[in-house]
Amino acid sequence: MRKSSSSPRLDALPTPELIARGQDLLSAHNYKDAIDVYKLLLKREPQPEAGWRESLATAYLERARQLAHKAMYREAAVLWENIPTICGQAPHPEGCVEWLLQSNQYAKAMRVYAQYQYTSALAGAGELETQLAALALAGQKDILQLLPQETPLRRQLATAQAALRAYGKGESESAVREHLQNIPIRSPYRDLRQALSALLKLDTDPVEAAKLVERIATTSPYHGLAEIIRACAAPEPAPELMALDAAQRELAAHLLGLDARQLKLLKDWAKLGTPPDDKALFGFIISNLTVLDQEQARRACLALLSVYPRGQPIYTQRFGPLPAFEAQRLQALYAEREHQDHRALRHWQACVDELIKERHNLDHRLMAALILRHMAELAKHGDFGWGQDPEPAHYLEKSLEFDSEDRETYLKLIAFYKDGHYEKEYHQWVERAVKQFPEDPQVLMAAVATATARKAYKKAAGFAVRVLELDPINTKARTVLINSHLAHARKQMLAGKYPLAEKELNSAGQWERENARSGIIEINRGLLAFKQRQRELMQKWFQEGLRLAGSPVLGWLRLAVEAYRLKLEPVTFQRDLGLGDPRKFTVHRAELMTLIQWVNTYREESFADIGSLLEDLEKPLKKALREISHQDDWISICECLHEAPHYELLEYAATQALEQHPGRPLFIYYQIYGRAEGDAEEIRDRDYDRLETALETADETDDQRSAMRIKRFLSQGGPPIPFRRSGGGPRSLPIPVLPPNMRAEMEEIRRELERLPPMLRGPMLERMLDGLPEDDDFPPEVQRALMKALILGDSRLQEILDSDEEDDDDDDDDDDDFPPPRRGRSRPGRRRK
Amino acid sequence: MSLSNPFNILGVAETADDAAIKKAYLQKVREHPPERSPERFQAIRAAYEAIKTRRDRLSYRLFEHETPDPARLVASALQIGVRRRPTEQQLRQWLNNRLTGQK
Repeated sequence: MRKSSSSPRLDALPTPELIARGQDLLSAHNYKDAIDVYKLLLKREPQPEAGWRESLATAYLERARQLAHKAMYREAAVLWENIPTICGQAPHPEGCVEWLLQSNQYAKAMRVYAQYQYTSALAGAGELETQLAALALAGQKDILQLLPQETPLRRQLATAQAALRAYGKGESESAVREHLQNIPIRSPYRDLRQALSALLKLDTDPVEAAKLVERIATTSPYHGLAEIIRACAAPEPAPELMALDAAQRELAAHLLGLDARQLKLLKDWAKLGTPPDDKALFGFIISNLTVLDQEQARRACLALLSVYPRGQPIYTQRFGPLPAFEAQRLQALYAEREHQDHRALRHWQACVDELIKERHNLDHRLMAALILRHMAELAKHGDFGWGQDPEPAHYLEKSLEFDSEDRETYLKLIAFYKDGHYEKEYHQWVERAVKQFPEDPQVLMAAVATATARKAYKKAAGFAVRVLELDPINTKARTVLINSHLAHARKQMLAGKYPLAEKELNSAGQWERENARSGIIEINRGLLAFKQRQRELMQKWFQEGLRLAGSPVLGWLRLAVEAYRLKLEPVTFQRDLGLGDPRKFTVHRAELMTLIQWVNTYREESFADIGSLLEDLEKPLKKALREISHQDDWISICECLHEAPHYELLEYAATQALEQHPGRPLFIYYQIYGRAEGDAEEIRDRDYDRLETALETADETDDQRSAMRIKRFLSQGGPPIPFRRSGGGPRSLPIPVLPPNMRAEMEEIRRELERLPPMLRGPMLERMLDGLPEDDDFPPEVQRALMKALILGDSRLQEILDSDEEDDDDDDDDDDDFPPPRRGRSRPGRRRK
Repeated sequence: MSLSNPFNILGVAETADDAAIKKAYLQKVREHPPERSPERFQAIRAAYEAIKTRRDRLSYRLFEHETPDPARLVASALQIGVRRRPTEQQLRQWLNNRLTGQK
């Protein structure tokens, strides 16, 4: 189309302009159109001496190169063949020979080669001759017939053939070498010489063989053979063989002495993806079993069963049945992979049951313990639906029955009970841990914490001294010791025993490092001076204490806390200190973060009035919150205010945090928790919806911390009581995960029931339960109990399930469940400001 | 989690005890110090951590999903056979196919 539309225009151009146009197209590398222009000129001025003919030859040559670049060798050669007729010259004939060879036109290639062989254009065409030599050696008749006389190609062919024949016949290395030595270094057959030398060395010196083929260029026709030799010479040939193509691999397999089965193995391996799909890999192993190491293959298949359980029947058929433990373990792993946490727990439990059948076997006991610890992790992080979390602590405790020397498990139990505010269990487990690990600083520190929490300061100090003996740079132990002496000093001050108080303060001072003085001892010395009516001394110690505290707000907080501990009002000293009104303090970010840290410490020390002390600082703290921008800072601040607790500041801080991090579930939780003053009953409807949305977001983004917090709050605020106490029977079967909307539906049913007169509620519930459709997962009576528990409220679930296990005919008491306990009643660990 | 077999990385049998594993680990670290081959060192270190104690080894056996390495399976299957020379005809045919584009 383009040609027909442009031709009339070109035709109309005068010759000089046409020549100029041709030149322009040539300069722009548009050789195709340049050829059209010059062909037009050829029609107008056919005389051979025209100057533009050379340009036409160039256009033909470059266009031919362009086509060859696109692997259109035949077309390239045709274009090149035009050149001699146009300008009487044949530039770069080796290109044409190469293209003719590439398009398998050997006779034509040899004719062009013979015709231009002695022109300067062929000087340095060693690669071409090497290729022609290889074709001659391969037995290409057209090449052999037309090999020019008196050329190395013809002269050395017989020697090369003899060498090849000798190698192929299996003649000795020396015999083959004799032939090879007759091939000169500059021969077109030199790469054959290298390749055969390397093949000879393959058996005796593979390293040398690989070295020999290094000299074969990548453009050489023997390069493919060189790659084969390198693969065969490799210490681990398998991966090298994979880099070869199928034909190369076949020849390599022959060289390596591989049989048909091994070759099939290589072929199948080449078809596997990287990384291979589990099913495909399983199939690959099974279909090549005869050639693979049986034990290796069995183990590989076994490993794959945890991700490809459908392979189990084939596995059983080939390797025999799986031991019961192994079958359960694989199912557990697969369930975990599929995020079916309940199912995973069930299979892990079955594993434990299998293992403890042989309790005397140490490995079995250890594995049972490890599985139980794994189950605890699964129970802690898995998704089990509303109020159905299984019992991490139960699994941990159980694991110690089989492996009592795992320190981590003790520490986990201690942390679990501590975080859950189960004081009794917490202290018990600390005691057990200390008994088991009396020389372990981490365990001893836990003992320090529990003794301090029980106000057993002497005991705490004893543990702390022991920790410092084992770990002299343990700052926490040092702090505990100082605090212990301070606590004693306060006791003495309150009892009016001032000299004894001073002695305790001196002892506290001895433990304090010179470069880490906090000012707390000095403030207590000031308070002691106040008690003794030594005003000047008091002022001196207070000034020193404030200086060491680092800032007015921190100094004030420290003094206020210490004063409260001695049942004194901090306002008494404010004037003496010249601190002014705390509500007018200026607090910067660094001071705020230190204050947050101190508040946490005071809370850990069970200082009860910290919330009311913060009230005095509300204004400056709110101002300081405006300086916060980092998310981690917001989390620390909110967490501190959540635990302190100070609801107003918490709501304020969370609202500020949400402005910077909109929609973050944790901040939504803190905001609503603060607004509802930590009481789930006080959550507004709109906030309830927001919390549920935040929970969904937290689940979707795997934000477990926020999800757990929100779940706890929504399911009544206090710490979860998801597990049976130690010493209880085996745990009940896991409860299936509820669909997300089920809880709302249950709430709706419950509300409907509550609207009925009390006497009708029980019978109505029974009728509803009678109408339940059958469920494959549970027997009808369990299904009834579950549904009833769900309708009556999450907190009744475990109780009803347990009673169902013990006594199936307990339905007579159903009416007593109405009205069911509302959310938020009788919750343990509930705190109100 | 998929993990390269730590026993293979350290070059020890799966029945090896703590002492043998530690010895193999130290040997490997000497061969591949962190300053010379940091990635290899990391792998050795991770392998050691995975099977250091009896509990670790049992834990690895119970919970780690180790994707079988087909290369290793194939490699062990290829370690048999006697090397053979191709015949002249085979070599010529192979060369011809290579040059004429017949694969």
